[in-house]
Amino acid sequence: MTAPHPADTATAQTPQTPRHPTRQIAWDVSPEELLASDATARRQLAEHASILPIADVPTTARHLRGRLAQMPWMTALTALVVTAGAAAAAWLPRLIGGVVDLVQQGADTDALYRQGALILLAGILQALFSAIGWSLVSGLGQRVLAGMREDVIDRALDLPAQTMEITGIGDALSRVADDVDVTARAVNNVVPNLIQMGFYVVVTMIGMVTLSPWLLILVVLVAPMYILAGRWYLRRTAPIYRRERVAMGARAQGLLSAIHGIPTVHAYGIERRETRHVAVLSEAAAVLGMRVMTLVTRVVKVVVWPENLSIALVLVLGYAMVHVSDAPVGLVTAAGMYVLTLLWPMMNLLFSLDDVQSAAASLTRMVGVIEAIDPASSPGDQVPADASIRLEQVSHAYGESADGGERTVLFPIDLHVAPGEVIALVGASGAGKSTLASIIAGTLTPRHGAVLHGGADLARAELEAARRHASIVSQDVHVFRGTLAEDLRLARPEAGEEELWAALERVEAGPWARRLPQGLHTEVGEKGERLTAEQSQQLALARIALQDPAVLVLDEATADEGSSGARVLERAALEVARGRTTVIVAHRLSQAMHADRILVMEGGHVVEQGPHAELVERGGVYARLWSAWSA
Amino acid sequence: MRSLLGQHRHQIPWILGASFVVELVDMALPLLLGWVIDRGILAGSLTVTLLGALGVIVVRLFSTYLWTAMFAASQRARMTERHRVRVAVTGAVLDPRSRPIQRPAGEVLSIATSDADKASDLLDMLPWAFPASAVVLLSCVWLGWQDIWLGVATLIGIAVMVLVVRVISPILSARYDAQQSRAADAAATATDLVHGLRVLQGLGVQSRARSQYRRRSRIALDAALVNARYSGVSSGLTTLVTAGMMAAVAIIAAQRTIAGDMSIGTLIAVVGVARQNMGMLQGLSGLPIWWASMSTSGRRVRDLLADLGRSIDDPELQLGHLATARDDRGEASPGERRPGVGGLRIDGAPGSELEGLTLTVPEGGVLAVASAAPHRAEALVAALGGHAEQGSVQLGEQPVTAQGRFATRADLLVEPHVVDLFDGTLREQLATRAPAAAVQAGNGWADDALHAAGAEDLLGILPEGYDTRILDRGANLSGGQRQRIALARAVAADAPVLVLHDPTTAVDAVTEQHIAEALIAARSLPDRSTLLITRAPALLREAPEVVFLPADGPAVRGTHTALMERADYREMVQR
Repeated sequence: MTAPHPADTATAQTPQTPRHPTRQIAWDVSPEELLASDATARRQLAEHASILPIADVPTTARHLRGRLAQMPWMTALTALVVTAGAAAAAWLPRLIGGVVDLVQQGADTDALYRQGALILLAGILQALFSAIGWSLVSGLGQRVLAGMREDVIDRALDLPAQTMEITGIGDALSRVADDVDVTARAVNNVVPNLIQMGFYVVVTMIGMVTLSPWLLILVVLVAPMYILAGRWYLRRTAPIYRRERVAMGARAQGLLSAIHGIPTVHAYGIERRETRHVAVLSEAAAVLGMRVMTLVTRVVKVVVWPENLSIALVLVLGYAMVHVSDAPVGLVTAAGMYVLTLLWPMMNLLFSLDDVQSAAASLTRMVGVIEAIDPASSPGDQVPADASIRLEQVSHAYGESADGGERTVLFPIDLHVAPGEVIALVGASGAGKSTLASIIAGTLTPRHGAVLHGGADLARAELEAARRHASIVSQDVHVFRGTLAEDLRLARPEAGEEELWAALERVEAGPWARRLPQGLHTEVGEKGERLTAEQSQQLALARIALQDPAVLVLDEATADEGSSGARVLERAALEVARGRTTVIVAHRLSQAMHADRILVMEGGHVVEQGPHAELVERGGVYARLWSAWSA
Repeated sequence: MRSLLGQHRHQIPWILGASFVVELVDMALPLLLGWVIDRGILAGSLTVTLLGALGVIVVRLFSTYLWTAMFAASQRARMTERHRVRVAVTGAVLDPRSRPIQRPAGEVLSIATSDADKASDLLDMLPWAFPASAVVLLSCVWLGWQDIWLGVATLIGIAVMVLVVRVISPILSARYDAQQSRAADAAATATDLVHGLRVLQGLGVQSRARSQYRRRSRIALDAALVNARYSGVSSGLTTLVTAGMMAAVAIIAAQRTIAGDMSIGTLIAVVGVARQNMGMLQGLSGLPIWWASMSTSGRRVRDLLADLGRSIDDPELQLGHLATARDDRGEASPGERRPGVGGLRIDGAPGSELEGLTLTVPEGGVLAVASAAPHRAEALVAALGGHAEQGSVQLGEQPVTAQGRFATRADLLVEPHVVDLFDGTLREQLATRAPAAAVQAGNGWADDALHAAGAEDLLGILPEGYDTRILDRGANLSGGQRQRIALARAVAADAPVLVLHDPTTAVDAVTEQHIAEALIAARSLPDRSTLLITRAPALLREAPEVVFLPADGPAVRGTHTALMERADYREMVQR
């Protein structure tokens, strides 16, 4: 790690490289101007869409109090130990003042050693209490945080998928990851320090006032100045930090998606555009970060005044104390020590406020999710009796259109599916196939009508039983972090390796799974082996094989059938569906033709239904599709 | 790697100097106070006391202003470096001329963000570490000069402190790393579960996912509690060392004062300096860990760039260059509508998967290639990417080579099969490479492209039509919608030669039929050539001409209807 010799760097640079790259960030330009050329970046920075609720400060405080109240003894003990530590620390300046007094009185060595021993004792007590205090405060914070993050995930996992669409997913992700992370960092590094510091400052101020009433003047004059400076600073940094964080998030997102999409980036020749997109956001984050630094310098220039004032006042008041009220010099020394030992903690407190502030913002967002969303519970106790499905006058609509009405995507429908029957849904994009499929699977609650699984109304069914009863596999594939075995065991935790292999073989994933470096124990997902879309979908089907639900809905589950053309997914899907009540959203007619019944959909209506041969004979919509297909 | 320092070599000397003065003033403050107590308060001189107080104010003001200037400069340098390293890494990773690397995107991201940040912390550490160390040494010398035993006591204090820190900090940083990795693991699990929410809900296994997360969260909590204990012990030990030294210094100095060798003011100064000293040492004790994490990060950045075949000082990766450089697609003025190039010709290389294949797509022509074996289709795509071992490719008279393939991108667009969409409105998606003149003339071009991709229905579904924001990777769309937007984007690019690889695998039969008709109509322009690599019967039927690549053997040319006579062709198409 050697620094390049200046001459080397000079020759390495081509003439057009500017001599002072330091000048290349436009520090004085506002982020808006920086982003002028990049509409996407501008939008990313402007939108902090919060779909999920945010709690207000009193609610958050109440919530935290509630959590601390669950650990009353530990909370009390923590407060006690931290106060004791602060008192021991505040004792030290007085003891040093005592040394000065002893010196003035010309005391003997024994008295000096006694004083020295006391100093050491104060130090030992302080060390002991600060060690215990740190771990207590940190432990308390970590416990509270762990409880909160688990509750956030708890609620997030039951959010309806529709809420998570569009920007919802980003918001949920930032709550479960960023907010937890910000708070955890604060709890780890700042909070123990801050709480000990805070107690120390308060105890020291009390110590100063009890030392001499003169020093009350100092405390009364100086403390408000700190508070004002702190408020001034916080009010300005909070919005900057918020925007900086948004810019950083967008920056990471931009880089990730460009890397994931490298084939497209190279095909279209937009590598510089994408680099610039990341660069612009990076520069905006840098400019915002520098603004905070500028505010830091400004607040330091302000805070130096109360600091200076307190030092100068100690000297002047010290003169008055000694010459007006005949106080010993040791008292002045102690006062001076107090002031000197307060300077650093005060500054430290001031700058910790940033972290505390952003942690507080994150807390309100976490509490918002926990308090506003009720944990999932069973709406009733009905349990599906068989694998039949019944839909009674089910219809669905999304949101509201421009004129205030709903946009109906599914018109009222009655449907009965017998146990073991295979139904295929056919129709153009937007005909309502996926909506109907999700309703049948129970992952989407229809606006009107009732869905019955094996006689149990989903609106009055036992939650876990209903969830186990029906599964849906859609085009959205996801390989979970962890080993291949862990991913599969999500569907059946108690499955042995034999069972896992059997499930993989059933979906023809055996060959490639065996080729993985560590077989079932190979790390997959974002951190591990990258599986192709086709392999990921095979995995999804293998999970179904393991979970063994009575009802299976396949929503274009075989659409990602790569370009290999081996029709692996199609065979796997059919294999897994065997013996179950199955609803297939088909995008190839070859999938539909073997179904017991085909439902042809158009504009939210079922326009034809019946088995393949009958529909072809009828000469309607399906027959036309079929003749175009098989020509 | 320390190109970081080279970039800022003009500023570092004065920053270091200023920082030294600032630290010195901090350390000397007790001296000044001691002097004022001696000559002002004890001597009963109000004037000296007042002047002394004023002096303290002036000196501290000076040092504070110096500090702010120094701080601003060093932070600016640090932010610049973070930005520069980050952008250079981004540019290098995305540049098609860089060597391709097989690293997960998450790792590249963490190098471009957290490692770039940490490596640049050098510019934060440097201005403080050296001056502070120098001042600590100076203060020891001063204490030793006051009384040799004071110096000895301080040195012992420093030694013990260093020892304690050397012993604790490796343990501490190991604990901290362990905690961080557990916490990161829990956070990643949380993110992962939310990403896979639809799959979880589809399976109905929310409660299992929940208990999985709870387990990770508890592991993270246990690690955090252990870490908290160690941090507590560490803070306690340093406090203990400080207190021990304070006691020793106070007693030694007090004895000297009683003996008359020292004034009370000096006693106060000595105690103050000793305390200040310990505070600085505690800060300095974190340096080894800091340095270790910085140099590790620096190495990671360097290694990534080396793997890519680049270096941080590469002139093409500098901010100034990246801010202005245009994408090289081989066009003189970007955004123009490219004239025809005279069609596409591919000759399969002997001995390759494409042996014996000769394809010509004339200007104004649309040709479909149906490959029974997927690897032959992929070989064809590879040949189009300039891999000469599969076959030679010519755009009119111009050959497409491995080196020159980037300069032909304006005329040849090979749309990858795997769809990737980037954050932007629907209009921006379509305009990715559409000719500028068309884009400025209204929505006609976009309407046409959506029509050709059978995606007009999207305008009705997306809440804000063309201005609807499409998230990265099309996260707010279905697979079929994503594929059709990508197809529309390729059509809107209006490239003289367009190659599409299985463009309709995720759409239903009805839509596929619409696409086949509209797409081929849209591309049937006199100066445009289109190659469709597909097995979709709708596309094959609509294509004027089809080349069939059997699993092995020579290619057969004909129309879909004629080729349907062949059993192997029929089997491939009727899936």
